[in-house]
Amino acid sequence: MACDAIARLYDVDEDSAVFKKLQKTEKYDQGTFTFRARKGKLIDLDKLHESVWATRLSGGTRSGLVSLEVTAVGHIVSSNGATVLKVADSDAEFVIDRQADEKKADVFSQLQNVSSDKVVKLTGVIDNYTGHWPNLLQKEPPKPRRILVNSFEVVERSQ
Amino acid sequence: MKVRISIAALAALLLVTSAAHAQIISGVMTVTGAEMH
Repeated sequence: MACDAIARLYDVDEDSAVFKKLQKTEKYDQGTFTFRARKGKLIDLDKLHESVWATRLSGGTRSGLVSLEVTAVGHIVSSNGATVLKVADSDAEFVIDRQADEKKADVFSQLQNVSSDKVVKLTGVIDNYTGHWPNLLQKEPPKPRRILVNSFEVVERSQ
Repeated sequence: MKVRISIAALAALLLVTSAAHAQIISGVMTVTGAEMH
């Protein structure tokens, strides 16, 4: 299963992996799989994508990914008109954008006012990363990935 | 649900440990359907 594959990733703290059934519907239920990186490590979303692909989840079911919420740490900079998170201890970056929800959209406005010398820890949903298995996995996610920010905080250290 | 795990593919992934492009410290994946069972 996808969750098992993610839990086996080298940079994922296996002890942190928790699966919880939400029981929102009777037939096609939803569940959340929570995971975090090992201490001092970061999780590569490309590897995560590849590891789920390697499980060869079959089609013909209504199983799939509803959303992937991530937390990342780094510096907020403006680049070519876009708000970008440059990830600490990595050469990776995300384009950050606002949620459609008005309350959460305000979070994005506040984030844009954070000085680039501050370290922020932000949480948001990967944009346009949803769908049924395995169709979702057959295409490479566009890069840089876009995070629709839900919340953030200024932190003292990178992790 | 038919699930076939490629052990070789998983093992290869586990051995690759470069963090140069790593991005996140944690995640919450919401899944639905047969994946649940």
